[in-house]
Amino acid sequence: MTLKPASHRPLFLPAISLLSVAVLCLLPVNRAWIADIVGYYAQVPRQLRTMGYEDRLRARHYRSYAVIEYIGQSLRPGDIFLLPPPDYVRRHFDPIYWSWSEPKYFYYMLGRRPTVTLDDPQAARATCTVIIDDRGRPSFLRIVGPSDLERLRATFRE
Amino acid sequence: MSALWVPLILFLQVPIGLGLLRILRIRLLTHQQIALGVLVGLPLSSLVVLLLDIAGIRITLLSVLLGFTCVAVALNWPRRGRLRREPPAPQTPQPGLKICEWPFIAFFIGIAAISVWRAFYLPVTLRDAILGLDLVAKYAVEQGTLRSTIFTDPWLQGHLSNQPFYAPFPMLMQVVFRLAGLPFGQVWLSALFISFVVFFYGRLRESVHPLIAGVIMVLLLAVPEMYAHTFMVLNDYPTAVFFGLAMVFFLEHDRRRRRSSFILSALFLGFACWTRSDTIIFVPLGALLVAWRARRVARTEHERADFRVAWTSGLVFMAIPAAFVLLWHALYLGLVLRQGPAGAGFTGNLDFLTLPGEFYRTAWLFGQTSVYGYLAFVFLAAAIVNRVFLRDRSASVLLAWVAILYLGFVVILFAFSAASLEGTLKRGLFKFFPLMALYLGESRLLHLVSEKIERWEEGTAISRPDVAR
Repeated sequence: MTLKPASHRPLFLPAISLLSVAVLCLLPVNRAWIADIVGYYAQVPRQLRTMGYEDRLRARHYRSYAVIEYIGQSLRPGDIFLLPPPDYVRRHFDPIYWSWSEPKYFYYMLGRRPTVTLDDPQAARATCTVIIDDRGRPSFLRIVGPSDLERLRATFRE
Repeated sequence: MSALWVPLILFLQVPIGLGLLRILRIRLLTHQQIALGVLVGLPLSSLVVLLLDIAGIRITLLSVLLGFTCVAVALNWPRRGRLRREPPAPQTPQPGLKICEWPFIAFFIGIAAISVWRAFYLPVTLRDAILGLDLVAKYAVEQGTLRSTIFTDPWLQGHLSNQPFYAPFPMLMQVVFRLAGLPFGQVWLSALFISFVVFFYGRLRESVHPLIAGVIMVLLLAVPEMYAHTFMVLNDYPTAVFFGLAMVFFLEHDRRRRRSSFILSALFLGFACWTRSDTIIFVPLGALLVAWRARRVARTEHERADFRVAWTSGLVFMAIPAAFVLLWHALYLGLVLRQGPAGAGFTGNLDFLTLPGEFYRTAWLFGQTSVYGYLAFVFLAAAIVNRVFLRDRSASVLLAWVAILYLGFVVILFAFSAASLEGTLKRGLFKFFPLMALYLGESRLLHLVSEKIERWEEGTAISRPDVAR
């Protein structure tokens, strides 16, 4: 048997596997992915401090959930809420957090509340809505008559 | 409600899966058997929830627990089935855990632990899930039936779109885990993810050296978009897992002609359709592949072509996934709920000039390494070396499946109006990755590398006494 002395060998394979994990993690795309994962770990202490159901929704859905909460506080029993068109919300409120203006999203977050969209045949029954001001802040509006609805149609087209 | 029910739910789902594996006489190493038990148990238990609803039984924690218990007992009851005549599959000997695997295992634990935490902590995030599966699940839990007010509420009429009618597996799991007390469900995804990693890593170790298996597994896990779906519920990740498992057992059947592997392969393909209905597009071509392979074997064994064996195998392979699609779309949506997706049909306006473009667009997606990582490129390089330089045909059946997937996606993009590159294909592509990883593990190229490492290791073992002397 003419094999070389192999005292270093038992550690050779683990070193190779450690090296392969390191190399794989350092490839450009994987490095960004690992950085994301490290970021996830860094979030854990803060997440442990905010374990409430609402807190978690607020942190994850951020501006979408903030608007939903604001509308939820303003709605009265019997209200029918007119959802602003998603295009309008994307333009004036937020290009990412706009899903709250979809009927199903609203239903998911706020429960069974009557909503209509501008295209609905029942749009005229709407009693309230939100519009977005110049600084991107939503403000709750009561719809009093058909003329209000017409003005809103013009606003939502902007 | 306390989330303490979650272990009990999982505790019941595992014997459901193990019971079916026992009937099919599938025997693996204990940790792999349990992992596979979870992977079979989750979709089987989702059927129980749907059947409860069809039977008009109110969906509550108690009814679900009782349903699971009954099915677990029924599947584990001692019996003499037809499949019992088939001897259990011989176990491929696997080396014990080696020190060189520890870095990989530490890596797996590192990325799995944070995935579990996020699945537990984060609310359901993806828009399609909120507007679809979790909307249905949330109200099903509140109202005790899948036929909740979201389907009847006049204020939602005309706004339901397609998402609430997607294939039901993730929705039904959300129902179960929300019932178990988790505010956002989702933890079942972790059970699926970890079981898949345990099973698949074990499967790779059977064919290549653990060091190579570890590298392949890291490449598979480092598909950033797919990893994100291990903690954000949607249909695509579970579909990819089930599809990958279907491929594992397809290859097993192709090599050893085992009926149990064949049934399990068709069943996992069925689970993939139960999770994402468009998976059925790939099944007819897969059935043709089954028929072709069965005919080849029949011809070599009986010295003449046996079409009957070929067609029966192909039809059975198609029937099981089709049954899952029919159960949801024809029976549940068609007869029980009497509602369906708003628009998922054919475009009706087929312009064949766009077809070459669809081939290009599908292939182009893989180039987005920031989304899909490097696995596709490693696969492509290995496949070329294998076929062109090493003339290896042993895992060609997996390459045929890659071609089937590719062709299927082109057809989906070309012919379905609801399909889009962004929505349908971006995440549908996940199905390729376990298949590619499996192929790498079966490729001659990596077998050669494995053999070299093993020989070197054996040399180490032999040389030790020399050193002692």
